[in-house]
Amino acid sequence: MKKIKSYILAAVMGLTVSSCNDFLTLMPLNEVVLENFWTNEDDVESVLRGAYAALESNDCLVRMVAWGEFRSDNIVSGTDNTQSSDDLNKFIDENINENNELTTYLCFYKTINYANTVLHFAPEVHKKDPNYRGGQLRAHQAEAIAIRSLCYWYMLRAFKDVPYVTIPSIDDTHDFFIGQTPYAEVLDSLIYDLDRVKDWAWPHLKKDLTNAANSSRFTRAGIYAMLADMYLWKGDWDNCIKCCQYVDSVKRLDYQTLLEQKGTSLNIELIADKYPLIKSVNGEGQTGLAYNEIFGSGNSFESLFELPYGNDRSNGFVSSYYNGSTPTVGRVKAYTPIGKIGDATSVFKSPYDSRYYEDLLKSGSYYGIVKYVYQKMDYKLEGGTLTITNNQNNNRPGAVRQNNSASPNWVVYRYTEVMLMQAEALIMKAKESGFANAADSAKALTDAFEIISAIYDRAIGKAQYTLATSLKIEDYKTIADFENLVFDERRRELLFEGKRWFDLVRQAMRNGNSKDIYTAVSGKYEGNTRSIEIKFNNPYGLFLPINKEEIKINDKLKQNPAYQRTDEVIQKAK
Amino acid sequence: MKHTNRLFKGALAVTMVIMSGSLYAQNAGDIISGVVEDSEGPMMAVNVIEKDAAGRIQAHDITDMEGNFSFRLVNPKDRLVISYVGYETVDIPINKTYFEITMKDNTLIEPVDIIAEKVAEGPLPIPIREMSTVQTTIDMSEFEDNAMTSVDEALQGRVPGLDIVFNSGDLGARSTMHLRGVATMTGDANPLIVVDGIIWEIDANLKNNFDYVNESQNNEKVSELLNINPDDIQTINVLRDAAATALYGSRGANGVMEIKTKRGSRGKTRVGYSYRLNASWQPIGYKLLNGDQYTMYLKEAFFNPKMDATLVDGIEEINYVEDFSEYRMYNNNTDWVGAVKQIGLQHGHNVTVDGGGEKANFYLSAGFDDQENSVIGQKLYRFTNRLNLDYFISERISISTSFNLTYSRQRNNSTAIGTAMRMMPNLAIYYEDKNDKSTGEFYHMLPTANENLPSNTNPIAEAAEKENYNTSLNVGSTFSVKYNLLGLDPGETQLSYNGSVNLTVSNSDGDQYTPQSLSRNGWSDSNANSVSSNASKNQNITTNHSLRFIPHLNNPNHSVMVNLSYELRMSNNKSQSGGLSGIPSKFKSIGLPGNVKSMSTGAGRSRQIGISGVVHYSYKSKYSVDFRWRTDGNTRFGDANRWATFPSVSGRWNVIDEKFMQGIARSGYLSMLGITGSWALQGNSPGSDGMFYSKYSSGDSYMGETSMKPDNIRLSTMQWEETNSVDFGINLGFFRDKINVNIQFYDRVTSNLLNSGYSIPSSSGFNSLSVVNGGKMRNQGWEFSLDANRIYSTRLLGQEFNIGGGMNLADNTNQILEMNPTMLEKMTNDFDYKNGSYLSYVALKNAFGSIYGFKSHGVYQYSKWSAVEDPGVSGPNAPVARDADGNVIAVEKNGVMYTRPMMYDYGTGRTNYEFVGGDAIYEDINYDGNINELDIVYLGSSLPKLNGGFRFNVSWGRLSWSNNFSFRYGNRIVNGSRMNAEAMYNTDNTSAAVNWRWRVEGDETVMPRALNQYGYNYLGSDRYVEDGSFLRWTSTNLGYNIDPKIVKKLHLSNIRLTANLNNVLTFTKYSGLDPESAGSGGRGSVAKDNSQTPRSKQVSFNVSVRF
Repeated sequence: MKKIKSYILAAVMGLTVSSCNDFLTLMPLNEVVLENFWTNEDDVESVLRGAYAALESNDCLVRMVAWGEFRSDNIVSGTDNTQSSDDLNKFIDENINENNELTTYLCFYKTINYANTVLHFAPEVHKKDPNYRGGQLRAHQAEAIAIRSLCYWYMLRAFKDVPYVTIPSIDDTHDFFIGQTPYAEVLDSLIYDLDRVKDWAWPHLKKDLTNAANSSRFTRAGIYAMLADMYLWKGDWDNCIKCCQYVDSVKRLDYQTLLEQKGTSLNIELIADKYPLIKSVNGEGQTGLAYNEIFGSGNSFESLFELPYGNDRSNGFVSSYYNGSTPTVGRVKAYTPIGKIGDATSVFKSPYDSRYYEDLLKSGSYYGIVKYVYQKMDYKLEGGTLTITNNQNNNRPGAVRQNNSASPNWVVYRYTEVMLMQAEALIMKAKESGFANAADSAKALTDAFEIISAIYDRAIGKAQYTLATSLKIEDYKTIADFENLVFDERRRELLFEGKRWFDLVRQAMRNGNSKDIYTAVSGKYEGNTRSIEIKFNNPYGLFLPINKEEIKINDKLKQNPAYQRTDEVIQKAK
Repeated sequence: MKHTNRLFKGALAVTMVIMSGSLYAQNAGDIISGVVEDSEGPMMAVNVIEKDAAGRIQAHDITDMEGNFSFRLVNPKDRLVISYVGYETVDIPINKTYFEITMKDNTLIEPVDIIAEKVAEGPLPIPIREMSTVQTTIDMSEFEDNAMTSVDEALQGRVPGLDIVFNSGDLGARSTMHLRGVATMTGDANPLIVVDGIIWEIDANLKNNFDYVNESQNNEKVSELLNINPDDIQTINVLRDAAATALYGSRGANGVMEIKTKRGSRGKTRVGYSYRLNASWQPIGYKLLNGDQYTMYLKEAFFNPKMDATLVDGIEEINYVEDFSEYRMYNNNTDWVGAVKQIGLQHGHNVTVDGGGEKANFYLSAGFDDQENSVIGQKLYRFTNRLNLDYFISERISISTSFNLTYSRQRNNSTAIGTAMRMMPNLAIYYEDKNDKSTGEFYHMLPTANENLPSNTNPIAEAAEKENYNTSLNVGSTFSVKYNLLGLDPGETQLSYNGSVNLTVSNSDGDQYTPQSLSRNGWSDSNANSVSSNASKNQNITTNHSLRFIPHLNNPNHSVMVNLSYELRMSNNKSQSGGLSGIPSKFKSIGLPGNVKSMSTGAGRSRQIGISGVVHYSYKSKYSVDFRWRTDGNTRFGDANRWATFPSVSGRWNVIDEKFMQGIARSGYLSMLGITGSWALQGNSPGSDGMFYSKYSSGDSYMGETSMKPDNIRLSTMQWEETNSVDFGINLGFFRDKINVNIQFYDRVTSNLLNSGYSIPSSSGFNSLSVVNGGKMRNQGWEFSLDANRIYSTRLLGQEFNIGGGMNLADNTNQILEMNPTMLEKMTNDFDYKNGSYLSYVALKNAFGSIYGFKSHGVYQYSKWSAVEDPGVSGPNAPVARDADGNVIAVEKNGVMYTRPMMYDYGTGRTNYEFVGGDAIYEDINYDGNINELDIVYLGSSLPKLNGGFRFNVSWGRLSWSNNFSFRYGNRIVNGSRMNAEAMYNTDNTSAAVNWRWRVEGDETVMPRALNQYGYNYLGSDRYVEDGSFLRWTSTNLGYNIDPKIVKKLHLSNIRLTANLNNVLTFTKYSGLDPESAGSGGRGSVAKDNSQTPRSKQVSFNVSVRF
């Protein structure tokens, strides 16, 4: 009897033990776990949105602009000298070291990891969810690759060599300690990826062409624009031109569609019968319309890819670095010489150039940055003087964007930039004698000039102001003149959009020396600029150091040679 | 098999006997009757029972007024049992039909010491002298006279190797307990607490999910674990070595404290009541500047950095300008610290009722505490209740149930002392009218006050108006069954089953309210009329089944005992918190409209299974071997590493039993000589659940739509942290065990250390892994304890006189043997060149808790150097660079000597500060004329060389006196509170010592000049590193039993009066308030005194009455 009892007892205990593993498997209550995720199309969509949202984070945006422009001859430190901007000031003043917060890049790798996660699991979902069609899968893959490529593209231009990861970090069995992949290798890989998927993306995500989704998510045109940019850096002029022409064709088709839908009320005009651009002039002889649509309301016709900010996501970058709701000078301001207008040496050569008024605002002896800050620009240009028609208090043109009510979208690629890429590629191809004959070469230069003129004419309101004079091709005699012209026009058109430093670097890489960079930038430094000149003489000096925290934990990473220094040997314990 | 056979035979025999029915005169069905009397005549209401062999009641009667009883016999083989409370039970065979029974009053019998073999606490009744593991058992009756409110107070300095440090004197704040050093890098390193066999564990998830307002509240949450009424505790058993804690598997790695509560015992119902009155007060702290000294100091502090008097003129608050509208509020000499101190009174009531009879024992207690701290605004109410019931169904089966409840409500105000120390002493507490008379209305600095002045809220107003309550309710209930399956006599083979189910529910909530009147910036302040509330629920169910087998061996030289047990535990928790600001005045609910400040909820659950066993074997009690093991599985690991087994082996050789020792043993001087040794493997699991899952959570929205994102890298390779321990010990007994000495040496090596927050390259998309195994750590040490509880007894002046005492010493060293370089790098931060910070540096083979800093040498007398002093102008003690021989490096040029200035952090573009007269002197170790990271040296260790305690007690007749001492020796502390009090870096009030500060060129002093937000006068240097050794007379207790004759007249059985002084005296060189408040240091941090509320001094009186 006793024995039986013990047997039963033992049996009960044994049974419990055998089912223990199930008993000890508990799913967390607060989180969704991998085992229950990735079952349908919605899951793919939502993580893809997570990648976009990560790209949109303030950390990423600050770096996009800081890396792309703050070191250039466009930006100097602003007046808002909070302690936190110490690293910022050092960055702007070219006093960059491996401790600088702006050299961290976690936010981009976060985005990359989300994109890699989508790329890893989307095919599995496609197998599970019958409603998740192949076309949609490929479109998602194209978007994820585009997001990932954009992140690498920023890091590549800022750091040159970066660790290149294309698989998601899911499990700790994975080796996270990897070194850098050389610039050229990463660039080729990015081009290969984008070229492979460029036509997988939808031409438009929404039928309504004015829908924000068509420019706030990667479409074919957006991918082509990025690809054109990469070809431009690589020096593959033909492919660059091809990509740019594709964007041209998309834009022209969109223009036709819109024209059919909206008729004459459309604010877009076909310049030189080729390039559909938003009119600068706004009906009653006022100008600023293009600004209002591109930077004011956002997701304009000209936008190819931009980050949408709004009520639930605020653009902290613009409000704190450029100008907040009170338009004084923010953490950064314009390099003062840009404030000159109208003479041959100034950036803005024409007093009618609307971009000058749209981008800068004089504040004492400084020029604050107002691009993106204002929601609306309405003013009249007569005889070279500015007349504010919408007179707000303090002589500010237009309405100030209220910090909390609306945040400006941030444009990553827009049509005019692609046009200028094409112009640059045409000029460079001519320069490198890439054309079969002299006639083709001359044709290319004329084409490039036509493109630049179109953008320039739109900016000076040529259609309205008879006094404004267009660019004259006679003024540009050598290829170098054209080269300078395209760079100058890029600077004017894309001022404060995070492009200038990259332009300077691209030029320096192409020329094989950084003299031009130093000439352009040295004026903004105070005191001893010799050390900066020496630094720039090292080709790696144009790129950023890897942050100390990264170097510290990962011995496979090599510090940028321009920033290496003999490590202080610390004598600690006696 | 053998014994079952015998049993079978026995049962057969009984059956035959019953069947034959001829051996007994009585048959079933006969009427059995009789009379029960005592010395005074017939007894009424006496229990008369017919009991069978298994102890079950077969028939029953109660005697009538004449003492008669009668019942119908069920089985002639049964026995007759007659019992009455207060009398000896009579147990006789039923061999006739009429009984005349005389009962003996057992209360009249002289107590007799029952000399039985002492057995250890634990799953098996292992005789003390066969014990091969190390544990310290403390009988709480020892602390009868102590006026302690928590268990840790009683244990401080009492258990060898258990280092208890009270970090704070705030009400309800808990001590840090480390047994044999810290052997883990993550999670809780406090010992596991087990109450009546049930593990008291706060769920790790709860701690993680729950957003506590501040850390001190987190501590309070943990302190509830020790919220057991000390009066209810019978014994505390501290398992010190790994071989003993192996039974608790992964959870015993930090040591185990087994607490056993009191249970009822057979006898008359006893009722006791005690009342305790306790008064506490704060020790005297630093003398601070008064209003006039303060304003003078502040003027210098504003002037000195830039030598600009206009920086001082603008500050009306320190200039005594009569036309300043708030003039009257800033012309005072307020003792802020004095104003927040008070005498805190505590009233404690405790009632116990216990007793028991034939069938059941019970113990019931209820306690109520009403406590007010020595700092204003801190209050605590606590109600505790415990009921322990044991019911004996038969000799084979018994059931018991326990119920306990603790309710506490506490008002927190931990910042009062710290704030009071910083307050401007020229500021008034209350608004003053024209005649400088206080209006009784709290004064708050105006929002327009100079922004450089300290902006703290009036701490008196805060204590009065700010609300911060914590309420907790813990309820536990246990039901257990014990079933003896085989023999009942010690001489038989025993097999018993023990099963229990426990449910513990702990709920707690916190409510905070800050009225707008306390916000300097009015309604725009984010704390104006803010209310926050949090609540958490935690449920644990534990079930335990164990089988104990003690075979009876024919050869008495061998003894074997086996215990197997199976434990299953499930816990669930939920928490939520929310906060609002800007709600309408006078309302304090988070249901109101307001600006949502925070909102969070959490939920978690975990499960654990443990299977464990003990085997004890002993030969002649001379050689003993124990084997213990536990297999653990829990939800914190994924499938691959879920189960782990932690074994231990230990042995003991009682050398004293050997033949060659018999001579010595017989003499009685040496009564015990035993050698023990053990090896054990222990495990430790990480602090949170579900880390092996890849989790997704919602991210930021994109284009107005929600998104999802992966949250972590799942840890599929995570393993248990393992500790290998080797122990060696000697047990000595002298003078027939009147003195017991125990010496232990141990060596514990923890491998696969769980490191939290392991940094990984950003290219992974994450910056860290939550936990990574890696590294080895060693804890080595020794412990010595001596117990002599009744070393000397005699009769003195006709009364019994006893002296007893004990002491213990321990030392532990802790070092990292192996560590991933990344982890080491992370713990070694670069020096930040800021005032007040010490370099943190962790190196392999170095002890944790080392302090590194500059060496300081007073203050520069002059700014300008000259070889010979030119009074008031220049002198040799000036900030110039010197070479290794102490000579000034100087170059002569045109007849002028040019010296190199002494710089701080030169050439890095960070600070580039040039020292001048009145600045602190730091030693330029490498003679480069630059004070920087290279001049940092080792300044001492924050870990003690020795810690322990001793005690002695004397009793004479009905009077007893006991004393407890604890000490730490050889540790160094960074006196952060003195650093802050002498920094002269901001506008907070400072120590009166700064009156000696350097003021003009030529001043000879050790106190630098006043500099507001400027200079480097309080860099982490040896100036603030002090010897933290102390000897504390923790308590002295006097007890007296009132003469029994007087007590009898009052119809009571006992009255006892006690008086105690707690925290009597501290002998220390440490200049701060309390060398303990620095914490214990360790795990890479240095011990730093951050001016928490120090432990108060207490006096208490206690009356306890037994009815």
